[in-house]
Amino acid sequence: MDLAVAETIASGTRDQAQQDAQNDLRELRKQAVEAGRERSRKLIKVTNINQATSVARYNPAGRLLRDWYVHVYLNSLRANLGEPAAVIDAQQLEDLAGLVHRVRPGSEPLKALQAVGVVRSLAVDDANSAATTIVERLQSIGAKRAVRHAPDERFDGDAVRVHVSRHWYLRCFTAQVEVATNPQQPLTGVTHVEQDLVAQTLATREVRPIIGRDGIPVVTVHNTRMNAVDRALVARR
Amino acid sequence: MSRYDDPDLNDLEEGQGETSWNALEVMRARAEASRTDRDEAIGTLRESMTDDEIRDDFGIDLREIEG
Repeated sequence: MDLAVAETIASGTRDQAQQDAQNDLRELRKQAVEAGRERSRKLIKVTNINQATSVARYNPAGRLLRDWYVHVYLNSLRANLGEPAAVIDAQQLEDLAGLVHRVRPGSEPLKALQAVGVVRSLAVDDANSAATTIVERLQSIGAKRAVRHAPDERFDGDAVRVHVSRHWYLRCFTAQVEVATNPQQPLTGVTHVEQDLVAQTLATREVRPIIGRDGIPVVTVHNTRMNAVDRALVARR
Repeated sequence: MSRYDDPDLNDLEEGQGETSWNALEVMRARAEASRTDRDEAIGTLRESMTDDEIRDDFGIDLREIEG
């Protein structure tokens, strides 16, 4: 395979993987937002029904706390997925506790504060679980997309090129997900040098290590060997 | 028998001397920590109110959490 062709394939694979990851993430995020709204309706009731008389009574504290849940959930989810998000601070918590106490004057201020804290914890926990589920699903989806991107018959059935192409696709897909979901380790980003090494491998069919087991590329962006000092700096971070 | 002349590459292949990094594990740990915080917050509120009182006063239905 000509090196220029291999470079085009490596570049195209990278672009495709990153685009696919962004699209998949957007779709799963949309589903998670809807799931959070549905969860708020189940968790926090805005109507109390007296079982004996069947009389329904509006609970304004429930309305405030349901809105609070959605606010915290959406912003925690956004923060988990690398989007701009409002910080949920203690002042917001205290302000809302004051409002809840005002509509529920019979309840002690401390209990209102604790209830607001419980709802915040519920929303943060649900958002973290949703983000984790999204990443789990994307890992599975990425592997399937990599196979679809380079099926067995691609490159005239050349198994080395097929597998290098799949690994490269998955590497770019996963890196894109990690950029969006924050836990990315420094130095693990996809580089042009790495892309060049993949192109060389596709062209020459000489397989070589490009990524270490710790997910860090073997070479730096300047095409020099990533040495023990570089890795140690990352580990201490 | 080493596959590569460069010992660094053999280390990479065998995973020696490196801390593996798993982004998913980072997120799972984050989710686990928030679950602990959640349970502690619920436990604190339950010290002063029953589940029925919590539902009647604040609308929070704790049965949905354990269920």
